[in-house]
Amino acid sequence: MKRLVPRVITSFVGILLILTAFGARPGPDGGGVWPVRAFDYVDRNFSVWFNILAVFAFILGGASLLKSHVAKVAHRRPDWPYSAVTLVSFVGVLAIGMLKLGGPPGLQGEVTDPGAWFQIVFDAIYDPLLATLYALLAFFITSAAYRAFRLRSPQAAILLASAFIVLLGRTPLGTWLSDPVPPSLGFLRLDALSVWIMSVPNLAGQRAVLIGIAVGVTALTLRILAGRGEVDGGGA
Amino acid sequence: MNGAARGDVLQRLGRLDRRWLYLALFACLAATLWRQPLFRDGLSTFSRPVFERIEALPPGAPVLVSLDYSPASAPEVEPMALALTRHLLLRGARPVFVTLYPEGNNMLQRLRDQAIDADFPESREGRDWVALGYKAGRQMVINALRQDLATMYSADLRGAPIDSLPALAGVRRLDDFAIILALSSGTPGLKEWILYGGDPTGTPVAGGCTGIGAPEFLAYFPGQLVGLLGGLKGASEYEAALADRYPERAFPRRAQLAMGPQTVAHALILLFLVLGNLSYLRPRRRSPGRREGRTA
Amino acid sequence: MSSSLEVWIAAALSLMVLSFLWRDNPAYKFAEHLFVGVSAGYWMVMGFWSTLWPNAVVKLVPSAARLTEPAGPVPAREPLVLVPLVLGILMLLRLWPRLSWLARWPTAFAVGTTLGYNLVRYVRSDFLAQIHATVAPGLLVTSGGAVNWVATCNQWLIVAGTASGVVYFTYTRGGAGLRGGVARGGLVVLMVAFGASFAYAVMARVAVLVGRLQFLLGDWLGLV
Repeated sequence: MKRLVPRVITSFVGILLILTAFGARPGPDGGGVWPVRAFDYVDRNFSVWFNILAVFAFILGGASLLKSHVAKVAHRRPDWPYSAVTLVSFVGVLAIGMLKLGGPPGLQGEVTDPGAWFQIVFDAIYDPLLATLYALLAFFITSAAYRAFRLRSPQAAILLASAFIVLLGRTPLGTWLSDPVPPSLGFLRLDALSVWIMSVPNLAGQRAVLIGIAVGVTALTLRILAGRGEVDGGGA
Repeated sequence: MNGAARGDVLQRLGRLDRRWLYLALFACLAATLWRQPLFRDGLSTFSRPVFERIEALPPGAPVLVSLDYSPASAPEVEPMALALTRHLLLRGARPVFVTLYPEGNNMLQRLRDQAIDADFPESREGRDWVALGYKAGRQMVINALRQDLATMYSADLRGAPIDSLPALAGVRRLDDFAIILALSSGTPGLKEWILYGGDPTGTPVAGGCTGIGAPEFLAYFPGQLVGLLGGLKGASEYEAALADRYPERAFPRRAQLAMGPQTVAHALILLFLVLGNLSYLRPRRRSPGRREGRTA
Repeated sequence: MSSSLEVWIAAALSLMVLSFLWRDNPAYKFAEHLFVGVSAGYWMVMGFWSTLWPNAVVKLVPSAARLTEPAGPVPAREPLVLVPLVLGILMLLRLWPRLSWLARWPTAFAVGTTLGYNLVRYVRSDFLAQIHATVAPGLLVTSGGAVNWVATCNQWLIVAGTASGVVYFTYTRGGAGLRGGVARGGLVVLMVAFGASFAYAVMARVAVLVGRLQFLLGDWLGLV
């Protein structure tokens, strides 16, 4: 029961949706024979149901965070004051957003309306924290360029050469460095070489990756729909 | 410099503390930002079709604009969103804004302030453009819109029912749009709009993305993807093209101004690549227990 | 220098995060934990007001629409929206170990939906369409009717590169003979593509840092 039902649900829903892709569309008035209408109903509603379910995943994530950090604070585990910061900020933002504090009266308007406290939290806290956390990566990639990107093999040399040309070719520096190149050898300009790398070898490589992933997705999907894969999402 | 002294310098380079690299990057960027150089730019093979497609839009054409980015990638993608919105409003098209990112509504608020209210004060929400906003569900939202906009959106962000909005007249589902413009910073984003929106409905898809996504998306160009603004350079190209085509409108050039620091950072990183490899390739005594390249 | 309290808070938090570049420290940890709490709350609020409320609660209890839109129309009731709501509640049972097995049902629905749609979309867009785009005419001609040798050579390079890349993925271990040679050629193509990806990744990361510095040096300090 615990394992069979999820497998049946997965296979049933998956196969049904694959079939809808081959179903005809109903007429403008929603008419048509019953299988057409049934497939249309499934296609129309399952996405909407999935979207509603996605919000419960957010709620589950929040509740799970609450549970783990409350336990950390209650048992005074190492670094518990930081967990208290997480809890206070989580509950605070939740209260501000759910009650739509600031902005239009009551529960009217949007949480992102100018003047709403939620928008202020976004501008003053969420935006700078998220943006700066990602900005750190620029420093790390600089360090990686210096310490990890080594000419250890011919393949690494090819990778480095390609990166070199594209890095130069995509900036005004590449254009400036290429100025001495005569027009008859225009294809050797760094900006032209960069475009060529992106349009030919990069295109071929990316296509190979896409085709490989598509084959993998197909194999994995068929395996799970055949009931041979595991659907997690709950305890034993 | 003799061989031993050169070897000593290279050895020291190999042991350079990473924080010196950080400081060098910070100093170079800060200095270039202070000088604010503005470089000339022009459309590339990949960005030109986007510009030309929007130029060719008939007045009143409905265009779906998906703002699928967050503050984490806003410096790259937001200038594209601003430039594309300005271009659409200049052409008299009807942009319909949606987003697959929770942060998208806040991004939309900024876009409204910086591009619509600031540069097109005469335009009216609901008549000239519509903000439908965020819905949870990632690519399944696109799937729902393919069937019927009303399955997900009963009203716009101001609470006006969608069937009362003149800007959505004649628009029931995805294939009623003249083009889909997806500004994307990851998943869900441009790829999902191609797979779930453009390919199944035949609606043309174009857009912009962060630098990280650009190489992959070029595999869809030009068949499944009309054109692509790749990273900050793509945004800069578009801003420059807009300024050349509409010289009477002096729009801010955020991406073009950021290309100066970007160029200096690229040069610095290339220099680090060379120096790092010089210290790695230096002639060295054999020391079997030690792994090279991990001393810095 | 800015006089806005919002800007000062944003700048202080940005500096706390940047302090990690020196070493891990309490200011960074504070900022990191603050971010986790704020983002979890942010996502829940956005999910609730953008989707759960209008697409589920209001459709089940139409009069609830009056709370957010007193002057707006009351929509028709849609009882079938109970299905995702029940599945959603089952998903939350994951928090109670004794009933957590029931959370597999909504997950199974979500997995089935994703797989069902993905299979068709990936086969169409990433498999068939990519092959179709790769296999173009052998000789490309200009509008004047002459053979465009540059475009033709590029086209053949794309065909060869894509095919050898696929061979490399299929036979990762390479081997000898023709297959090994083709796979090695595929590896070269992939290395060029990864080099381009690295360059674009550098561009993306630097652009985000430039944006942050524009805020700190411009919006906050007013220096640029």
